[in-house]
Amino acid sequence: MNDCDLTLILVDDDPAHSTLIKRNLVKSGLKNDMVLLSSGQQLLDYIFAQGQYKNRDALQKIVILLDINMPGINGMEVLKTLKSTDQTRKIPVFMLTTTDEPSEIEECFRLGCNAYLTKPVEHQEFAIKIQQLGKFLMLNQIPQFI
Amino acid sequence: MKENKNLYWLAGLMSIVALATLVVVYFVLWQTAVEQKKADLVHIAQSQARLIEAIARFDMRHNRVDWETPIGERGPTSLLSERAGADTFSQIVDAHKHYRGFGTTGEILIAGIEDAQILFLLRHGSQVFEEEKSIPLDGVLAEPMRRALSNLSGTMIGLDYAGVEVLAAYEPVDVLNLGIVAKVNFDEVKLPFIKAGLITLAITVIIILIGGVFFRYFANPIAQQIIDNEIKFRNLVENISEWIWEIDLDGYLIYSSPQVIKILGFNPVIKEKTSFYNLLKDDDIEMLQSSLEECIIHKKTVSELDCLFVTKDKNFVHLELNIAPVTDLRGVVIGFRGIAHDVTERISKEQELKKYQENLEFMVKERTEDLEQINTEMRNFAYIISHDLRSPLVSITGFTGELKEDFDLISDCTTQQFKEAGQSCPQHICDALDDRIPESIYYINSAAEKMNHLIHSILTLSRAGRREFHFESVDLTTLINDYLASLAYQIEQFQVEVKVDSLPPFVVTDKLAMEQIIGNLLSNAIKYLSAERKGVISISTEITERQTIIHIKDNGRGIAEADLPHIFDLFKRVGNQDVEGDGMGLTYVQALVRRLGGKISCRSTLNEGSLFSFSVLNQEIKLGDKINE
Repeated sequence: MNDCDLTLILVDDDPAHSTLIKRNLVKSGLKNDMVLLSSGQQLLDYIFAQGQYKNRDALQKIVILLDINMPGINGMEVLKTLKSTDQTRKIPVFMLTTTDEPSEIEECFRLGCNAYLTKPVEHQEFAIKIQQLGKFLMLNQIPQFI
Repeated sequence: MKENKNLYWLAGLMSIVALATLVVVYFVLWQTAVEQKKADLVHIAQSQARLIEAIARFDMRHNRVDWETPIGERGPTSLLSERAGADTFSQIVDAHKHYRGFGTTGEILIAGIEDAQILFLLRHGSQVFEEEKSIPLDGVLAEPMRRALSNLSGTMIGLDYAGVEVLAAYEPVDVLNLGIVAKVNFDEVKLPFIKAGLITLAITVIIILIGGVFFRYFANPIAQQIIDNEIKFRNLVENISEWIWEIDLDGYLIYSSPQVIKILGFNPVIKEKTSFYNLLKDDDIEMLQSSLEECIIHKKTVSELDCLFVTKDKNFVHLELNIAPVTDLRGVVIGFRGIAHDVTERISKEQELKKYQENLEFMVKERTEDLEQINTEMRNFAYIISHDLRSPLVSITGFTGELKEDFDLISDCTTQQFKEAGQSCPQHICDALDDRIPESIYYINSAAEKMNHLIHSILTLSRAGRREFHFESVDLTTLINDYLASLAYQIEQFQVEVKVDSLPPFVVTDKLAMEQIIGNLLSNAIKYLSAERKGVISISTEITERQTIIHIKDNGRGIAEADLPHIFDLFKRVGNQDVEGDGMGLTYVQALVRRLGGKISCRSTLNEGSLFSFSVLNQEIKLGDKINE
């Protein structure tokens, strides 16, 4: 485990998906802290330590796994905010969504996402993909979040 | 008819002129003849007088003549005998006797005055008379002799001694105090002229009459032609649907064809000086006047001038005017001639059409908006499918997978526990663990998989409808050969014969779409070949003015007539389901063909084969051309 102080933030409005992703990440051997959030607003509050997360612990290194289609502020808007703010620009954001709409993928990369992963419908594929993601996260150096 | 009458007047006038000329010529000739006669008479009288004088003078010198006693005092009977001139006179008479007089009535008279009487001494007419005859000096008869004896010389027309009207030349004979008159009856001068005149007149009249007949003969067809022409033009003018009119420079009507009644409902009376402008709607008068001014300046016609006219019922009619200036012989514009065509109906139709057009445009716009709306909804629909429907499916399959893993753990564990306890697993638990639960999980998974497949298909189809096409020149031969090369294995395996007829060098289309269409149809043709015979697939094209039609024909298993209408339906698979397929290929092909502006159709007979034909619009390639939805 390279980055034990890396915190994984999972944003998905569907708790079923969050649960599935979390389980598979754990299965891959990832032991890092995981924060499960259910909306874009929650993520922004968390990142910028506002609202209900006003008194959250200081963040060291974080990676965001972000769903797109969420009620309220959707994933793309969140991405846009994060990538256009100097303070948060360097945070790795992995889009993790069910849509494989080419225009949407293109738009996400344009906004500066670091990876785009489609949630496979087939369970086996899903498990493999998420576990590979976990392994990938374990192997890579994540920049310090200021 | 009027022209005909004029022609006859002309003929009459020419006759009168001919007659007048005749009269003038006749008069001049008469004058000349009279003058000639006068000159002859003068010549005779003067020559006689001078000769008598010469003889008298000769005698005077050689005889004793009493020249002292005046003739008047000598007495009538002794005028010649007593006087010394008697010898002279007798010589003259002798001479006269020796030559013929002149003319029929011509006479030479010699007379003197005796006792206040004119005493005629000699009359030489047809014969020579010497008997003396006297006429009172103060009477009306023998005026020429009276003048001669009054020592006058000249010519005149007057009465002679016998009271006959004569043309006479009178001349005094100085030496003998005599007078000499040469005269001829005026009738003798006049009668031949009257006779000749009458004959000439008669001939002239006959010539005029013959001329008249000929004139009639030649002029009648001309007159008839003029009449026919007039009737023809009148009929034309009065029977065409256009109103023909003529106005003077002040705008007063000079002519108006009867068609005006049909157009305006009344006939503007020309005699009462009706102004053409009064027939127009006030707003248009100025326009017409300025057009007519232009017409005068440039001497050009005004064409297709739309004016509003007021009818009898105070309605407006649209008349299209074509106007030409009317000029006199010097080329000065003296009025205008025009033709008016009623275009009210046309204009109202045009307006109606415009209204329909606007309405149509509005409807099209509305429909387009509707379609755009639907399109947007379709896009959202695709998104909903790709995300919203997939999302729960991810959960279903995900948790089913999780469930299966956990179930496998429990199943193994339970079996192990029963085994360790030395018990056999109760039947109903065994059934659940070994059969029912795995079976349930299997069906949940396969249902989810099926659903995923459907979602994928719908998504593919919806994307086909939205993909941006890039038009380029596509070489069909290369495209088909490339595709056949990729199917080489199957073609070899099934021993298929593929015939490719000569294809057009290129079609302008979206290459990818064309590959997908032809690829789908060819792979279907190979997939559904009949096992009973050697497969033959033929590809041919047909080029029309607007489109290129591509035919792909096979001798495969064919499609039942009842199934034909459904082959392009989504997820519909017809016939034997022994070949793998998703029921989407033809739907997809149809969507692509339609988007390229073409049509696809299928003719098929079960167990004989199918013919798929699709069309591609012929179009010019333009750089950067693309069709967007």
